[in-house]
This record gives sequence, C-alpha cells and structure tokens, in this order.
Amino acid sequence: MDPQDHERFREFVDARWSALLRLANLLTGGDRHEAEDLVQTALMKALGRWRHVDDPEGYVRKVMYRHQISRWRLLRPHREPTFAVPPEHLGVADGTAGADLRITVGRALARLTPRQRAVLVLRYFEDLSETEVASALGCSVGTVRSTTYRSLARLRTLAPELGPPSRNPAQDTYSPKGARA
Amino acid sequence: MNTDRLEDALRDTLHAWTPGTPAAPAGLADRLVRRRRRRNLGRTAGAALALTGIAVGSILTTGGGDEPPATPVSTQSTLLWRTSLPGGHWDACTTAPGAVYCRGAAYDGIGVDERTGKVVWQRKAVSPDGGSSPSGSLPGVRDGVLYTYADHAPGTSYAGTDLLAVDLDSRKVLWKHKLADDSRGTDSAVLFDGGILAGAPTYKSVTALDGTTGATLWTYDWTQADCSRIAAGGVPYLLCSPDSAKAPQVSRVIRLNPATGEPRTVATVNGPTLYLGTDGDTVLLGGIPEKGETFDAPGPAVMTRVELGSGEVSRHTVDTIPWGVVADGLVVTASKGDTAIAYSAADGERLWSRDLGLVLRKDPDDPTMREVPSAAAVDLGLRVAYFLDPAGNLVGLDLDTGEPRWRGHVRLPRGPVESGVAPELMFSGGELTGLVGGELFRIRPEPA
Repeated sequence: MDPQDHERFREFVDARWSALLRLANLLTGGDRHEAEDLVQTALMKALGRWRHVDDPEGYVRKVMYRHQISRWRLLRPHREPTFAVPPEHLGVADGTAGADLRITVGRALARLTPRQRAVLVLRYFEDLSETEVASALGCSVGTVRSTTYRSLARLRTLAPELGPPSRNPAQDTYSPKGARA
Repeated sequence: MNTDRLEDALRDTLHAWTPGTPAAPAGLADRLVRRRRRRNLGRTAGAALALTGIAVGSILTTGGGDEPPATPVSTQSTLLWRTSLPGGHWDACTTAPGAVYCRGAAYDGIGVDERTGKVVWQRKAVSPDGGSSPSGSLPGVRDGVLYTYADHAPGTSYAGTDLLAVDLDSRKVLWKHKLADDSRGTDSAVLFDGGILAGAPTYKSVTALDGTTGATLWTYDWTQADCSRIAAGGVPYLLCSPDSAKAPQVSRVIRLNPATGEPRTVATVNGPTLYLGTDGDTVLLGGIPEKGETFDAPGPAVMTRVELGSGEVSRHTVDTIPWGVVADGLVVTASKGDTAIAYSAADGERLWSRDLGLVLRKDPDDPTMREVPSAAAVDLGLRVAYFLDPAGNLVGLDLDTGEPRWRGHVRLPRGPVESGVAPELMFSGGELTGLVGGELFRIRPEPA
C-alpha cells in the first residue's frame, strides 16, 4: 500500500468508524466486542481491494451485512450467541411511553436471529428498499419480504406488550411504510 | 399496535441505539494495515512451504496426517508502558476511556494515562495506616465521575467505608455515602442506568443514589436473606439467598425498578444459591453440593440459570460449580492455579482444560500455599482468554479450544511470595492492562 492510499484509508477509518460501529452494534444485537470485530473484519477486507473500491463506505457496509449473516451460519449449534444486551442508550424504564417502548423493542430486537435482525436493520435503519436489501444480502426479494414479516411477528411474540396486529384488515395486511420495492 | 406503529417504534429504537465510543481507537487504521501486511507475508511463506511439501511428498510417502495442525503460538506483542505506582500496594483497578484508575492502601484513587502510563491524577488516603479494608474491586467511572472507596473514619480502629464520588475534571469530591459494611467487593456499589446502587444503610437494604449529587433516590429493605446486587442491562437486581436455616429455604431473583425501586420477583429457586455471573440476560446461580454444607464442598452440585426477561428457570447437575469469568456462553476459570478450565454456561459441562504454563511459586513458609494467576481477561473479538502471573508472564488461550495462541512477558521486579493474592488483568481496546503489586503495565498482544 503506497503512502497516499494508507493516508486515505486512515482518514476513512477516522471519519467513518462511529457510523460503522453504530451499524455493527445493531447487526450484532448490542454485543460491543462482536461489533468492533465485525467492523475491523470488514475494514480488513476493504483494505485488500482498496484501490479498486469506488465507494468504500458502501463496500464496507455490504461486507458487514453479509459477514454478519454468514458467520452465524458457521457457528456450532450448541454455541448460542449471547445477545440480549439491552442497549444502554435507550433510556431507563421510567414509565414514560417512549422510553418504555424503546426498551421493549430493543430487548426483543436483541433476541431475534442475526438474519431477522439484519433484515430489519437494513429496512428500518439503513432505509433500504426490499430490492436493495435483497441485493445486499444476496437473496431474493421474496425472501426479504417473508423474513421481514416473520421478524415483525417474532418481535410481537418476544414482546407481548406490543400487542397483536390491528383487527382492521386494511391495517393488518403487511404493507411496510415507505416501502420502495 | 398496528404494523405502521410497530415500524415507527422500530425506527425510533434503532436510531436511538448508538455505540458508546464515537471515535476510532487510536492508531486503528495503522494496526489494520500492519495486520494485513503480516497476513500477506504469512500467505507467501505458507505458499512456499506448501510447494516444498508437495515436492517432498512426491518422493516420500509420509503417512499420518490425522492430527489437526497445532495452532502456532505467537509471541508478538508491544509493551506500551510500565509504571511503578507510588504507595507500594494496590488493590484494584478499572479501565475507562483514556485512563486506568486504581485504588490502594495509601490512595483512594489514582489515574494513569492509558497512552503514556503517566500518573495524571491522584488522591491520597487521609490515613493510610488506619484499619481500612482492601478493595476487591472499584465500582467504576461514568460521566467523568470516579466512584471509589475511602475510610469513613480514617485512623480509627474501625474505619468503616464510604462510597466516594470524585469529579475527574475538578478533582473534587462530589459526595460520599457511608456503606453498611467494609467488604468493598464487586457488589458493594453497582452502577445502573439512573444511579448507583449502594449496600446501605443496613446489611439488609440497598440505597439507590444519584450519581452526580449523591441524593437518595429510593431504598429497598428485606429480611431473612442475604442479597447480592448486580446490574443487568442497566437494571438493578437482587439475588437473595436464605440467611439462616430458620429462613425460608428459597432463593429469589428480584428486579428493582430503576426509577422507583419497586421490586418484582423474577424467579424463585429452591435452596440457598450463590451468584456466579451473568450470561447475556441470564443469571447463573450455584447451589450447595448434595453431600456438602458449603458452596465450595466437592461433589456434584446444581447450576441454575434464570432468564431475567421471562423468569424461566433451568437446573443442571454439574460435576463442580463453575466459578470464574462468564463470557459469551462460557465460564472460564483458573481456580486450580496452573490450569484453566472452560465450562459451558448453558449446562455447566466441562468443555476444555489447559495447563497455563505460568510461574506460580510456593510459599516457603507454607508449601500448601502458592501464588495464583489473575482471573481471565477475555477478548471476545479475537476469542482469546488471557491470564497473568505475578512474575509478569502472560498467556492467551483460544476461547473455544483452550489452545495457547499467545505468550508474552513483562519484566517486573520479583517480590516475596504473596500466596493467594492474584494479579489483576483487564482487556480494553485491543490491549491488556495488568497490575502486580504496585507495577502497572499496558501491552498490546498479537495472538495467532
């Protein structure tokens, strides 16, 4: 790596670390060590193709999405990852509706499978369309749609406080707000 | 809640979920470049060796090959600094962004720059020769405030203990609060979201204090039990075990509302229990072995897991109670001195054991006593458990297999044997901070 590339890489890491770590935190369900590991792994991969990458941030993010899903596939069955670290930044259960709801949703999110969580993070944090999520994860749009539906249902199961879907058939149909499929 | 509202709640939650460290660790980009360079060199060397192997293999039929290749043990590391702390003997340290804080007999607190090892702040104890108790741990640092312990009545025969809050910028004591006992252990004062939980004003109560002002937020009392205090996910919990044979023989896990102290029993478990650790959102409790009267009696015992969210309880018969550091589904211990053992936190099954290869001297006056290694300091990123001996030898074992992946050494002055006094080792930001007596050091390991 020549000094110019080295400097460019250093500037990229310094400037984007926080945003990348934030995404990694979400993808790993709040496991700080896993999150740092995930960002570093993605940065290492980006480093190998540094000269050929036009959009480093896009490349690193895509590596993170896929790596997070694929590495859990490789885990031995008896080694359940420890998520369920309710994020500290969501507030204290102080009786106010907003903070309580964030805590409830955050805890449920932390207990989803990595794939379910990744799809929700891409849809509702990265704000990607179903087509873009499918492209990022290397799966079909149908898979993204069904995974999103099941993930939301699973959230309700894990957090009964969220209540069942509305009985109004028009609202009950899965129709993501702001979908750009 | 309809789907639209659930989606809004999801967006709100995801956007509120932020990491604690806004800046990249110092020198991270350079470290990654060096790592990649080493990896490339390794591949080049590996390719050359592989070609040699093919050539030799075509001439000689070597056979074998069933044994898995041994993991190479790296000895690569960078010693960042080593500092002799003033005051001789130190009890406990804690790491915080940019600094390491310790407490000792002569100092209520001392701050050491994480990058240089320079002492940047110190607060001497009023009477270092009083009857104060050593600290098993430091409560920690949060929002620029160090929480430490100090003698309540310095210089007297029974000094007592104050929980002390020190502003790290102004170096002023913000407040102090007398604790019920002198144990100064991991649960004497526990930080939770919204305050700090202190063992006060009696042995059978807790007080939640405002971290900045020290004002009492709420208190909670109980009877007929001894309760350990923990915080899981920012929420305070009590783990209560009967305090005598006359008390009801059940243990309870109680959640305390962080805002009000309102208790809610999460789960009830038969018999006395002892807190072992927290695995994600699950608390691990150990029971007294069947044929013993104390928790450390030999023989089969019961390990109980309590899910804090659902209250679900599962019991597992184990050969021995797994005491140690709980990390990512494992309990790693070095309680047998020169051997590390990993147990599954899911069922207590013994997964691996490994000789640490550390130097632990026997006490010349009592050969049954010897030095002990530190507790494990775990790097979940690279999945390595590190240990330190009083001579400055370090070893890093693979968390999943127990295979040694790194060995290191820091030159430390050798003092007399202090049997039973463990060095302290902490992992943060890819680096290890070690404390042996009054010697503090920071080293960056590079495990294989």
